[in-house]
Amino acid sequence: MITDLRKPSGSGDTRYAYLVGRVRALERGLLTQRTLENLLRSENLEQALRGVAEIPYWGDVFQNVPPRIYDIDKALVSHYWQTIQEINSHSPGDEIARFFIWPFDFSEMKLILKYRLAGKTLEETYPTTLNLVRVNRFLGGETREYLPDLWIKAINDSLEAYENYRVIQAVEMVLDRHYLEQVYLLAQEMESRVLKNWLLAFVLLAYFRAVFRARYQERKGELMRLLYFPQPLFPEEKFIEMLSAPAEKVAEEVDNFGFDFLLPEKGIFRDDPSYLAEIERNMDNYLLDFIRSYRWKAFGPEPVFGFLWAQSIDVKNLRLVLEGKYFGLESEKIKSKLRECYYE
Amino acid sequence: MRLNVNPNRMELMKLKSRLSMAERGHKLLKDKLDALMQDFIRTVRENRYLRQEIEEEIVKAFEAQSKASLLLSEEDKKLITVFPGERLGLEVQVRHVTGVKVPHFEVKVEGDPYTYSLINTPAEIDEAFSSFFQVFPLMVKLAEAEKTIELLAVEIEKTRRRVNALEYVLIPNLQETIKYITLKLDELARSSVVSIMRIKGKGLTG
Repeated sequence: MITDLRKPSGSGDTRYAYLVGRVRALERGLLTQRTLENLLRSENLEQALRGVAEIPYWGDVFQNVPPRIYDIDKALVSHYWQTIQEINSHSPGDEIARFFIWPFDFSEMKLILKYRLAGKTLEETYPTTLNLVRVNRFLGGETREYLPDLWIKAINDSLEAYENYRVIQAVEMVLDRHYLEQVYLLAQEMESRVLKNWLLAFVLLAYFRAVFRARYQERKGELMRLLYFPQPLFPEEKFIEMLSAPAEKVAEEVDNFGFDFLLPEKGIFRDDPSYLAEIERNMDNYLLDFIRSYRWKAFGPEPVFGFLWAQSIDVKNLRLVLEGKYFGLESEKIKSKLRECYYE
Repeated sequence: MRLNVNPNRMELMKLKSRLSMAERGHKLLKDKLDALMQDFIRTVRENRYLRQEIEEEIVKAFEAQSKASLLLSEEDKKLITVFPGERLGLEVQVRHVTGVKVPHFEVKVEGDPYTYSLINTPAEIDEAFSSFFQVFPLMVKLAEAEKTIELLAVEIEKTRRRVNALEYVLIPNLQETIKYITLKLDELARSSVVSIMRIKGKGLTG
């Protein structure tokens, strides 16, 4: 993908001054490669948790957290959610925070729909901005209940797809399509050219990820169309063609898009989950690297956006290290899964 | 030990018939025992190879699962597991192995194991799912083999006890009793001959 990485002039971005200042302070709590390596050297989970307690901000998060996966994950997610909420509460941070809130909202919506279709009751809820009472009333038949148009359409499309295909993945695909469409629309609205390009790259990489995984899962084009929304980045015929194309052709297409660096072995694509996991890691690293170049911009939304993305990567990395220690996995194995840090 | 029977020809005939039947039964049971032993050894060998294969596969599956788990939040895990797309049916049939009824399990898989998002889940989860779905039919096969071994072992024990009972108790007892009755009958025959001879002698002298 060829992106335009010219930096914006910046004079009009002073409205982010407060948030950039706030982010500079919060950045002290971001992980570095060295911190992760220290954590990896821990012999067990308790020792790793003691190591985390020494990192600014994270120390408070893990105070009195029992060394159990469930509690660790809860602490990680709630800290990340609070950080997003903090940025969201200061205008114009809400424009940026939207992108980070959507994954929570869409996951909650998926959970609600899946539980409903499975005939089970969802007892636990996760961080979300969705009005769960309204969503449940709407799903219960009160169609006059107010819900934003996005959710009404997403719910109706998902249920219709499930009726047509009788496959639960159809629900996931439809909701993922709406999510990617929202990200794409956000990219169109973005004033910052950097963020616009970043969001477009995010959408494009999400489609690549979907195609690679669909090939392994032997998904048919008909079902995969549920995930696709029309946009010029990834033409539909190419999207469908790549599902059944030979591996060499896929590698060629990736190269044509300018993403050859995603493939762990140059010019080679393999339908193997370990290989795909490597590709996914390269995707995350690419997105982080993309936004990292704008870390020191004095004004503008980029440092704020970059910080939130870095925070999401930190949550991923900490989960990898702490759960890896819990399962007693070798440090090298955990290290091979770790994503790059915002601070080099 | 001799059986408690009246030493007469009728009993002798009955006992001889029982002895011949016991000997035939003994031979048959011995053949059955050999066949059971052969089946048992074959199943144990199969079971060993199957167990080795499963142990290798299950380690891979659990490793893939823990690797995938590292990249999933608790909410993601719920999302993945709340609606299982694949239904596993187990058809139980009965097979006869050397006269022993053993179970035969047929796993029927319907639907699709992949029920989760393609963009929000790590690729490692596909590996975990495919590994578990590969190992599951093998585990059912292992259960079948283990149950077969258990049932064959019980049958072997039962048959061996019967063979031993025939070989060391019933047949020797019958043989001893037949011998006793034969001796007794011979003795009776001899005594009646002597009596007749005596009567005959008295008549001649008188």
